[in-house]
Amino acid sequence: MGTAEIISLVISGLEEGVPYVIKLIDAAKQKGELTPEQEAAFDARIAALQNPDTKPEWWKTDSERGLS
Amino acid sequence: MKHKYKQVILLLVLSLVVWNGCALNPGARQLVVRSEQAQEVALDTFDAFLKAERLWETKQSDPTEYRKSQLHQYAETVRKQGLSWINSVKATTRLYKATPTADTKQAATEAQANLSTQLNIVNTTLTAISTTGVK
Repeated sequence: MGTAEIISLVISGLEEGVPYVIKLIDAAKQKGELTPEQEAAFDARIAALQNPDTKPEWWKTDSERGLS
Repeated sequence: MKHKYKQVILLLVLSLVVWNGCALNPGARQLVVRSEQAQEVALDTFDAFLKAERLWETKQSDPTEYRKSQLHQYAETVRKQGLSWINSVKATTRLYKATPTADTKQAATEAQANLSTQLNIVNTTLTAISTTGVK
């Protein structure tokens, strides 16, 4: 595999790189401090990634996948 | 694909310009808002990076050998510690929101700086792939 192919794969792995960047722009639109409700929503997102039952496959470590 | 890569970089630069140029609502503290933005961007960035890395792993003819690579080892570090980096910023920022003192401000600033360092490493990792390949 060549460097170009690696780069292509990483970039394609981002799937639609443009929408990903739009997420960054969305974050930039935040002009005020988060409300308690918004903080709770962010906390829930983090909690889902910390829970072995709800975290996406790509967040699982080798150990969690039984590979080490 | 090269064109798409350049497009992503261009939009990333544009987003940073927009980000830095945004005026805040009256009463909003810049440190708090920027810190909360950083947490969200970090979470999205880590998620995208890990998803891409896992996809790359599935393309390897020898996944066991690939898992010894620097790219995979760093991805594993992000999987293990990424949420802790974000949680540290979250905790110190919320403490500063509740108790705005010089000490809590410094703690929030330091945690945010650490998170920014890790985000830079993600970008550096992608750059390293483009110049040296996966080692």
